[in-house]
Amino acid sequence: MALRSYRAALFSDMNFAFYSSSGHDCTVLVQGGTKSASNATSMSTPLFSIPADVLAAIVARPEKFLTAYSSLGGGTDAAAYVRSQLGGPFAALQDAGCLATFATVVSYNAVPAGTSPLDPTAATLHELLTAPALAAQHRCRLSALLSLLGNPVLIPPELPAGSKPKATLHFLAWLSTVPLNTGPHTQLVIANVFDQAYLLLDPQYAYALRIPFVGAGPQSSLTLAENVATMMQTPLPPDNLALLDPAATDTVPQMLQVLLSGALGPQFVDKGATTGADFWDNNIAQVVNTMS
Amino acid sequence: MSHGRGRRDFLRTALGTLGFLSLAGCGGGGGSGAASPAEAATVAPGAIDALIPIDAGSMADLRSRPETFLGVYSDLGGSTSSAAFMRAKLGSVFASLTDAGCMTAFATVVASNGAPAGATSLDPMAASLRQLLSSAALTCGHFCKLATLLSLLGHPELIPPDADAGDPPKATLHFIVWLADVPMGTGLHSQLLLANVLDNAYLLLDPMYAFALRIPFVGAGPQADLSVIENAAVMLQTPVTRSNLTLLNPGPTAALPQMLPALTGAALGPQYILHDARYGAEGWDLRIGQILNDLGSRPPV
Repeated sequence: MALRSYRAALFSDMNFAFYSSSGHDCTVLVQGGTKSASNATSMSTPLFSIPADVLAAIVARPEKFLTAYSSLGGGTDAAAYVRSQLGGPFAALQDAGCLATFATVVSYNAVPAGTSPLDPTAATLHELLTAPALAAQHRCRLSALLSLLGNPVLIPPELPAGSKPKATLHFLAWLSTVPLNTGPHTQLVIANVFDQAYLLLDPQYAYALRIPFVGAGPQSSLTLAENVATMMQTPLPPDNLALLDPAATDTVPQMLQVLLSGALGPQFVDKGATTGADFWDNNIAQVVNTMS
Repeated sequence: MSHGRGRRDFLRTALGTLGFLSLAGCGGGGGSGAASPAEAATVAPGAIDALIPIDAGSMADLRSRPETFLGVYSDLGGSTSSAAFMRAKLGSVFASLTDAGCMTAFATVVASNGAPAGATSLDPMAASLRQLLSSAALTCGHFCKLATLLSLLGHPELIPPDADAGDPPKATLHFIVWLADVPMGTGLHSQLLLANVLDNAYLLLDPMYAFALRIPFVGAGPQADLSVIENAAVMLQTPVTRSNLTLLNPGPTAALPQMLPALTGAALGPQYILHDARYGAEGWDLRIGQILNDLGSRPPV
């Protein structure tokens, strides 16, 4: 059976629904946050299945991540497979975005969530892949490093004015006051992998969100994180959200509601010198320079 | 202690004392009246007669943002593919060269343009991409490391060892380290060797002396009980026709006339390989195997 994609929909007063993107399966309506038992299994089906031996191979030899990616969908066209799994709004997602999405899936599956003594600003790929537990920053770093294996050009910042726009990967750090009910939280944003939209990836809670540009699009006076957060002040149609593994957000239903509701904004963006998006841009920019 | 082992220990001690091994060799000349690499390199800089010229602007971009290497590579050849462009430049005997091989050949070109040959205090085992690209001079080990790191940007799968038994063969990149008495006139010298990027042949790349050599398999091909570099060295005991050799830039070898005849004239062989768990091909395989594991590490101090 083909894996089905589900996305959050119809958030209203804590009543929300998940439904199959392809429409050929059940629509699971969840009232008041209580799942229908008959559909609990299908609801918790991950969008991408990564066999244990594949994960083990990636842990042993990280470059196997690329083999795993290229094997998706039977090895014909991995990007097309990712796009089809994510659903219609992701139909224009470029290969770099598809690979980063799969890196998010691997990151989520490789290590359980939890606290870790690893320094998320300096942890290596091997350290992250072999850690017993990882926090959101670590998982974002792990996703970023895996993505860079396949697309080193994702490194920020963008090329100078006049150059061709290129896809770039950024950390989006939220302050503890962000109404996601996560406390301080970190996600990834990929720019220039959609026409007129950003791609937000959350390796901790296993989802992908397409954030359409609003108004005149990104403002040059704002940082990328501020632009993303500004776009998120506008409510998003639910089909822009793809749950990579519905189980990851089971316990935080309000998170998805807030994410789509327009409740976020630049006032919640962490701009700290050692914690904010600019810091992380510089940190990630060093990954290729320091390859040794 | 065997004669060979004693010889290796002597070399390690002597060259280590001189600092050559810490530079992965090729800095001290090789006796036999050969021109030193530094002397040879005085001919090398510049793109005159280079097979694939790289403009100064691209080199500057590479130094500031190494990942632009991939953009420079993908721009090669205009409307044709970069790999097709490289194959055409290298010559018809390289017609079966895979993209991984083509990109590594181009990384070799970039590395050879990266800095003049000469001594440096950088430890080639630990040197980062940024350090290598900004160094005032490089020795053969550094040139090889630089070409390796650039190649891995586009083809991380080149990391050794070979695929597991039962899996399809995969392209792998290795360092081949020659002992000081190798009859190329280089002294201790490092080159790159790629397996599974050509049909029935190895690809040898020399980023310091700027050439590519196709080493055709002889006899029954590689022997299972030998390593990739041992097999390649065995193949080099058979003369290689000159068409298998492509000079990426004729400058560096112009001052070392005995090198190319030795390389193609069956003068080499496995007896000249430096086997060493730290400084030989075995040590480099291990080091290269760690590059992706260490991705994200702090810059070396």
